[in-house]
Amino acid sequence: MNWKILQTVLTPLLLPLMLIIPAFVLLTARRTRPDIFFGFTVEPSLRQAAAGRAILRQFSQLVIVFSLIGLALILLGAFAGLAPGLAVALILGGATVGFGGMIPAYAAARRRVRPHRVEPSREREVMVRPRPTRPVGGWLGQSGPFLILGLVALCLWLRWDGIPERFPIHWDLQGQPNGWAVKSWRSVFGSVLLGSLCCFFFSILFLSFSRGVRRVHSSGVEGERESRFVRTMLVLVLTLEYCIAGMFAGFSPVVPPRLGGIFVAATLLVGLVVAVMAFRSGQGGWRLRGHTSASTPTNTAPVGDRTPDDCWKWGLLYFNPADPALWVEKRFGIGWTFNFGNPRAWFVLGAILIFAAAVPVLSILLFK
Amino acid sequence: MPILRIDLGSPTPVYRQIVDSLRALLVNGAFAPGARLPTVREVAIDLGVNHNTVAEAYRLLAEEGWLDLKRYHGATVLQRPPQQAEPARQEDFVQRLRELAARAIADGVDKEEVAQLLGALAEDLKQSKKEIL
Repeated sequence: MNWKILQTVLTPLLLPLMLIIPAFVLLTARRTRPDIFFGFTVEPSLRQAAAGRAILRQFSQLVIVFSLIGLALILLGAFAGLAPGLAVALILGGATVGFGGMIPAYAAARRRVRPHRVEPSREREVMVRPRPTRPVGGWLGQSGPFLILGLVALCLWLRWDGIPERFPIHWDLQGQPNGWAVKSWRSVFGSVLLGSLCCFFFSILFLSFSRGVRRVHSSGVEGERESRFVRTMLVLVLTLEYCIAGMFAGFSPVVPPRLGGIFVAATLLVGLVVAVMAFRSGQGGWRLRGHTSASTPTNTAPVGDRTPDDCWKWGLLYFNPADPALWVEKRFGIGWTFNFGNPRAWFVLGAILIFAAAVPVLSILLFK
Repeated sequence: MPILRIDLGSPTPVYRQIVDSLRALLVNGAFAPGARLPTVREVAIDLGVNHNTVAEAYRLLAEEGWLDLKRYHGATVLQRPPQQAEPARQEDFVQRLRELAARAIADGVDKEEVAQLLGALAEDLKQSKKEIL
């Protein structure tokens, strides 16, 4: 095995992740719903109480310590001039300590929160109004990415004779081509096909979210915030879809490479905006400002996320065959997760995995 | 916006709570005839109850003449023809109202308060925008 190549590949990959993922985890613990704390339903006041603050502090300290150890090991492996085999071992060891250290930190926090858990309210509410059949952005907005790719496909077909026999399909960070394809139907239309596949996947996910997520609050200021949160997330997913369509369109031989680069940058930027806005809103949008003055507290027990605590495994995986929901709010994170007790969840998960495997396989088949 | 609320901890069956809650909204004119209600699936997901529970509630309301159920088209609110309650039905209502008031008083609610609440309910019914059918 070529340890030197492995070292060169792993270092730029793991070094930023070792900074980003712990920051993400630390922020996540602070952005869950006020009455959900490390996967348990608790009184909303716990987070601000001395006990809650101590739990959060201990969790943060453990995550930071493990991450720093992991970071130190990776830096040592990358820049200390050690033998490549030893360097790779240190880099992988650092990643294991850094990422793996979050598990005991999370487990310790859950152990300390468990005595504070309370029975959530068993009241449920629903707005008696059909969900809009028109998706966010409208059907035209939804079909936009496919129209872009269709237009590019038409240009490719019309300008077929003008396409050179050998054209670039990959560029380095300086924008210089470093990968080439020979002209054929597969290679010329490959990027459009892959782009359509990705956009189709995101469209399905978009529609599934817009129709299938549970509304925790339907009324009052909480309901208003939640609506804005869902809408914002959907708009951002749609924007991401446009960027992906533009990126794949940019890879085709009729579009100037610079345009493709711009869309790659835009896609990364939108991804960043999604993350920032999600964390700013908090889970379910609880940190957003509400305009409705009247809230509807119909009970005194915490509402949580309207799922029973007992159906959560480690506060991360939800399994409730009695619950018809396919998507439920994450208890440690922003957005939604599967209800693994719903057989359709396994079907969708399978489709996601097939999609994840299909894109690289198709790339190889189309451009080889 | 009309909100349907249920309590999963209540001894009353969930389908019955849905029927009662929706009927109250229908009686109060929360929906115009022809209005569409959310699908069984949507209500079941938001309430976290089985689809069959909601479907049963919708079916009972359809039997009472409130809803028109069409496959794949959800439930539509109907213009319900005026009903003529039989004397036995009215007696049953008075009896149940008396029992409910007695239960509230037995549970510690002040007699005056019960009377006020019943009076307020009567006012609400009188001032309801839609004719009570």
